[in-house]
Amino acid sequence: MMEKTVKRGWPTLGGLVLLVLGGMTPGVAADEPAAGKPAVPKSIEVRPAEVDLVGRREVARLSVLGRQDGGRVTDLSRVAKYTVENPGVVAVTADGRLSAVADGQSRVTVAFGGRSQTITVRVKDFGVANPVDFHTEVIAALSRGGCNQGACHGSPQGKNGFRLSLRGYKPDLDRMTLTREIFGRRTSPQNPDASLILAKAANRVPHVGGRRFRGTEPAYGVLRQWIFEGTRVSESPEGVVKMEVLPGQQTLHTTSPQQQLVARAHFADGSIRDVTHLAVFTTSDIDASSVSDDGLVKFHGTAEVAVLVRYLKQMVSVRLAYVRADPKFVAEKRAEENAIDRLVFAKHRQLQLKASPTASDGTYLRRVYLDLLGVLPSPEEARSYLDSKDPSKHLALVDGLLKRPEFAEFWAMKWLDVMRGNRESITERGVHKLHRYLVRHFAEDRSFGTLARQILTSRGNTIENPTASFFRIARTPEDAAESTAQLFLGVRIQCAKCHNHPYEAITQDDYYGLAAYFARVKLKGRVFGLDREIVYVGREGEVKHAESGAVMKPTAFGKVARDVAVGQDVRPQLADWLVRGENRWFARSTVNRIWAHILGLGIVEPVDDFRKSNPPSNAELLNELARQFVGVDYRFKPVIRSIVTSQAYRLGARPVVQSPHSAAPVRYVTSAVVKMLAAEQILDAISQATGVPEKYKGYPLGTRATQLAEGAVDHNFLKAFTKPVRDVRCDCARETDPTLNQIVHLINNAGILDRFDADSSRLGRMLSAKTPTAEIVEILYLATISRRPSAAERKLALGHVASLPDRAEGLRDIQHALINSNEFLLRH
Amino acid sequence: MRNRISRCLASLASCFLLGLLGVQPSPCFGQAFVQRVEPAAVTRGEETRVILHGSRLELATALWISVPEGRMKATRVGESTSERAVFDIKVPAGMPLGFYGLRLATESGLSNAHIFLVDEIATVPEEELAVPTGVSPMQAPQVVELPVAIAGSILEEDVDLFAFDAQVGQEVTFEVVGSRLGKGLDPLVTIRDAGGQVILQRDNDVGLFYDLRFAHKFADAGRYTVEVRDSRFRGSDHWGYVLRMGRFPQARVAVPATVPAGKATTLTFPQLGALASPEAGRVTPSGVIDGRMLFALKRPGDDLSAWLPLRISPIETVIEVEPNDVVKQASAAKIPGALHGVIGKPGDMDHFRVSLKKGQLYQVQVETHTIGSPADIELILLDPAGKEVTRADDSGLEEARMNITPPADGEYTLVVRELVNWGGPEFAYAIRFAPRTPGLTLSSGITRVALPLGTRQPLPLSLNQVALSGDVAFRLKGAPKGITMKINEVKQGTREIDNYLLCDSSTEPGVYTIQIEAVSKANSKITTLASTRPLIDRRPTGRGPHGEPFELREDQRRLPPTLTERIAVVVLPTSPFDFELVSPLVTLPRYQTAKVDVKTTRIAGFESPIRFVARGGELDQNNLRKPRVRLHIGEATADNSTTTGTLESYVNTLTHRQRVVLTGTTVYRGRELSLTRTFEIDIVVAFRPGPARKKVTVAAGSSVRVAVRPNRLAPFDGPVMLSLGQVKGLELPGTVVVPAGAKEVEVEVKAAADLKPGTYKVSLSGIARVERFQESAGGEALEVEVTAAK
Repeated sequence: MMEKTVKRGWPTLGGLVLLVLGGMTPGVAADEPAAGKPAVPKSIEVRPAEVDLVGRREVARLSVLGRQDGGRVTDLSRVAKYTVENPGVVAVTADGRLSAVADGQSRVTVAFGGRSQTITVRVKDFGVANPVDFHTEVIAALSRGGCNQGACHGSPQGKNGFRLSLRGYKPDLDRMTLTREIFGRRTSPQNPDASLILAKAANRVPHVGGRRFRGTEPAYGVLRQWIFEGTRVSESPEGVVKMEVLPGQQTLHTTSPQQQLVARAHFADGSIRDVTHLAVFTTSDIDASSVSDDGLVKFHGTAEVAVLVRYLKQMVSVRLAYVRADPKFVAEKRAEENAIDRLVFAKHRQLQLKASPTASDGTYLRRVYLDLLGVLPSPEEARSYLDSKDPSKHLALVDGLLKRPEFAEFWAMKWLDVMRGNRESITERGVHKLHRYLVRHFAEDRSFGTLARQILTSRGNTIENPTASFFRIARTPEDAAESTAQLFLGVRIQCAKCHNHPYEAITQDDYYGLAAYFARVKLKGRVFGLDREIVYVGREGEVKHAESGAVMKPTAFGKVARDVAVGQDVRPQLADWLVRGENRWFARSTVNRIWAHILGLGIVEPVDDFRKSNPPSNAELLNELARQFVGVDYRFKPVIRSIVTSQAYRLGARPVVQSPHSAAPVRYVTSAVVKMLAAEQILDAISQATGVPEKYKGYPLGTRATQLAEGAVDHNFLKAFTKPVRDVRCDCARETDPTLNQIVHLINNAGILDRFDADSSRLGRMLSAKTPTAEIVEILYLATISRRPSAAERKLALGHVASLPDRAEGLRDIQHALINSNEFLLRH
Repeated sequence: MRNRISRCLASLASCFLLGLLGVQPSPCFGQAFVQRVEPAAVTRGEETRVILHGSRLELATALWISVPEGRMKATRVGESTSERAVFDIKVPAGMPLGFYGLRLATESGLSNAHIFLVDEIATVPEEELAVPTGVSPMQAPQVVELPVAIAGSILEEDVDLFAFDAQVGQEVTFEVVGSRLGKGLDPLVTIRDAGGQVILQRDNDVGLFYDLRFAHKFADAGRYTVEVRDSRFRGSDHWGYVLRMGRFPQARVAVPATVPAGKATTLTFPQLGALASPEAGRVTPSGVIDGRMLFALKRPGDDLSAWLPLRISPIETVIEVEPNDVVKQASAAKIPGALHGVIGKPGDMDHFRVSLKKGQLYQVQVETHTIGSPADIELILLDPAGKEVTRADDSGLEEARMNITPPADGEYTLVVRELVNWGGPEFAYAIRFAPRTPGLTLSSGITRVALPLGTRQPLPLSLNQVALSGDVAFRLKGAPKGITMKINEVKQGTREIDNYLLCDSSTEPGVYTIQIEAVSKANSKITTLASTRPLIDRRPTGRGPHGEPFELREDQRRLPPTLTERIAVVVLPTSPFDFELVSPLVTLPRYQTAKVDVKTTRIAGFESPIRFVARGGELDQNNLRKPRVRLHIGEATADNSTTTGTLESYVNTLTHRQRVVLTGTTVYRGRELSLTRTFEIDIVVAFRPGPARKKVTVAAGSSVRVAVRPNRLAPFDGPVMLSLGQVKGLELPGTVVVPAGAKEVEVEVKAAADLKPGTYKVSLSGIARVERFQESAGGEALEVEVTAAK
């Protein structure tokens, strides 16, 4: 093993400042050595400190970390020197893989750069027969090969006549499939290598899935040995109680763009075994990193990733960060308005990112109107703001906007979009009642925790108590559990209805335990053609585990409810758990939604898919927002105020050139997200710009699109721009990519074109009042894109009007052009 | 409110279009239809001019009002037009406040029922204000002074605005009467301050259906705007409402809610607390034996009254005594009794101790919604040892009820709890707990009758005898001289009575209110009045298979008893025609056709055609909006006294006997007249297998030839495959086909030599293709008598 001492420079003063500013996550000093040459560590750490190898087949990997200044580490697992004290007991490969030789004990010394650590390795039962265990080894080997994943033989129908249980969750079924079906051809103990499963997996016979194993791989060996041993199955399979992954969360030193992970399973009998060779490793960012079958994570550039390690039903996610130092990168010093800025800009410095310049007043004004109210500022409001010299005018603006009724209507619309309240589910009357309820909620800025409690514990007549509509929509305990998880926890648990969550440590027990909270919820009264139902708590009701059939106790992700008497409601315990400050989901998922609605991209994305393998882009920021949210009793307005008054929110939309060694900037708020306005926003904006209100069937003239109580409104423009009909509980119903249909609407929609000609339109009134052309042009700009025209634009516009015999025609052209401009159609 | 003219034009256009499409109008076209009464309230002690809006209102003669003759007087003002009739209604000062029904009588008959309000102040009409261009109608409220009752209507997408000035600390009570008028209106009230900020928004108050009644104390003086709209922005030009604003009690429930007639009872009002003058809550019902009334509560200083529903009943009232949250604290109650209480807070449980007899059947019935309470009561009966005997919740939205037969004598406990676990001062309940007593219930299938002199019209009745034996007689109450019933007495157990109302030529034409009373012949004290279920409104549904553009609404479940226990009758001049079914029973083979002969008679000189429309049974639309049986019948003309119609059966027709109503309509001297007759259709499978001879004899060891028949019903004449049941010892074919046109086929039945003498039954069934459908039918069995071998 080559060892090389690398000279370690002192951090510069700037670097120190950045370290302080950056908080717990250090930035990168510009003079750090290049990647690929591990720096000499301050100390060395070998884990686990003791290894027990039982039987001749067991192997173990070591995780060797070099500790550097600032908490960053270098992975030395594959470059350190391993010295075995007693080679007659244990052997070690150059990359740190231990295997048994004979019973006994030995010390193994791991050394690098003049640092070393010694661990103890014990071997026992080397001579004792140790057959392959079907449940813990064969199933894991099949998972490792991907044989039982949903896209292959783990699909409900299997593939090409071969069906395994998804991810091996039903081992007994798998054993029957492997040993009994198709006349036992899949496994042949008499001639293991002729077993179809091995031949296919090794691609010795044609296999649609290609080669899954090399013959030398441990997983192949496990399968072959199991077949050779007669496909035995233990009558008392060992249970895995947990898994740990070493060395856990780390920030890697710039010289160490890789990290060896070691997976260790803890069994019910207290034993611990290395299962790295049987575990499945996946990374959350395949562009920035890769992970090998034996757990070696490699970074291709600066990134933060989560590596999911899965072994049988156990799943552990490990977060790793790596920054490839850019000597030319100079961190910006930006003004910080509040904690949001501190954390956003710290992340920029950590990942060598640059932020765009602050947006202009006009851009900010328009953005904050659209993001908070869903509408544009009037020309008068725009003028007033643009002309103000008050340095804190944005604060006064935000405070004023938060008090406006449009705020409540706009945010009620957002929540109604994911609550699935539509005519089919809760009737037209119910939709209107729920809409009014949510509008009042946001208008009065009531606690969202209280709202969640009211919804989850709701009862009574759905018309008199609109929150009870939740149970009219989610009519079964399972549906209520899924909705609760997705809306209030930001977690999708649907997968766990049939099997443990494939990407998260969410089990069927979690799913049915959560559903059990709603087991006693009953509905009655859907009779007489009346559109009301009554939600009440029945005397009894139970939820059974789909697989085991066991009656589940109400359990919220490990929190077991206290027993309640017959007829009592257990849901308040769920609400208590949900809105407690230390609940790790509720506040974080809610502020993440708020952030996503305002910034255009969630800190966790998608917003309702919180899981360890889908980490937040800025965990500290998410935690800070959640802390603020809890601190104000889950009220939206203070958090929203904090966000939209931050410098981070005020960044411009034009991206800046980033360092070649920076992280991908998309998720880190380096510039404003540019996105198409929502259907309602566009239509309301057109109504505002033209001064002609849109008419919606069933609503009084003057009603804005964001005020509509329903999703499925019979309106071609709204349909074309994908206003959700509210039949799914995610934010995914709105299409973000423009379509030809939308373009045709914007260019040729007769209803829109007629507005330009209408005498009652903004333009028509100005023409009637004989307003000077220059003034009209300015007002059209202000009304449509919330800014004055530039000198060039003004000249162009006036020139165009002057070139036509009818100035009205020219002005209509200008308004039409403005409404079809990106600046109008996009939030930027 | 918006322009109604456009809507009228639209209606006319629809009619024109229907005409172009050749749609045959149903009889309901001939009857007047009242869409809206303007104003929806009349003033007690005064004469109020009321305009009825609707269709076919021409030839209006009088107004039928659901109160005893003469207590309200309606005088027609001028001639009516097809869309409008005007009356002055004079209401005596002593008339109880509340809801009443009316119908417009025309020379063709009676209109649908309509509910109106008798209030104590005159209503102010909602005004259509001229809104300047560019100003939102939302910014132009109608300014009113309190107290006020405003009569308005809510159109589609309509928002009505009213402004008033309030003083600091002034408490104003608001009430909207809308859905209680039997319409689809779901009123929503929003109050804004002068700056446009929402002060409060109020929707339904339970007990008032979708209506509301609430009070608000204004913290600041100033001008406030009240918005009234439908909660869904729905509307119709016949959705009228009355908005009452002023000082009046916001109470919606009284305790007790059951009071005896002729005896003073002091009511309490949990929502108001103790009244400064309890006498304001004193009531002495009179003139009602067992019914309902609205109590008008008006405290000293109140501008207006609030009406609270009461049941008048002679049974003893028991009011809970708190605390009674556990069995030991149970309030003692005598049975029979009317138990009253309030679920004062969430989780509250009230206990009543009742002494019950073993084997006695008790009936327990809860009332909450009908007395203005939102409570959803669950009843639990505990035995003397505290063990649960039974419990009852409502089924759907009806009130909880249970029948109990105690297993032993003893002190039982009735536990009353709120199912949803809510509570509050308005969560009152009344429980009628009594041994089951013999009784009668009677309902009438019709609510209005147009009766030409010298003729008859159907009066279908449904009777139910509860623990009562003996025959039942019917009495006609309130009928003028000359009107009688065809059936005045029925035997015990009769449930459906095809009765007729007869009118001889001596009857004075006019408008009458009648009631049908059933009297037990075994016990003349056991009586009941026929209840009716008049339908108030209807909604457009497009063109139906019978050409009808409307269907009636079914959500008018709580109508005033003044309307539901009465039948409106208008006696018309002599009809120029009459008709009868030649046969009162028509057999219709399923998927086939049958003839229906109608014989008409005319007075001399009357030559107009008579149109017929049949309804009822499977001629009505099913849930797929399609009838399964149709009657194709042409017009009766002067040249032809017998008109033959064809009944036709379609897919999925059910085989059973059903009653059908046939209405003949004509135009005579400018008025449309309809007469109705009933007949029965017996829908059967088109064949019924059977032997030619019911019984044959054969000696053991020999055989006999037997003819079996499909017994087809004309016009079916297709082949039928008959199946013969197999009997051990009898040798006979399993199936045999009777070819098309053949009446029967012969089969040989051979008895085994060792077959024991006796009678053996051979079942017969058949399968055939009738039109496009496979039909099967059982039939009469063949009896084979086997004698000893010769």
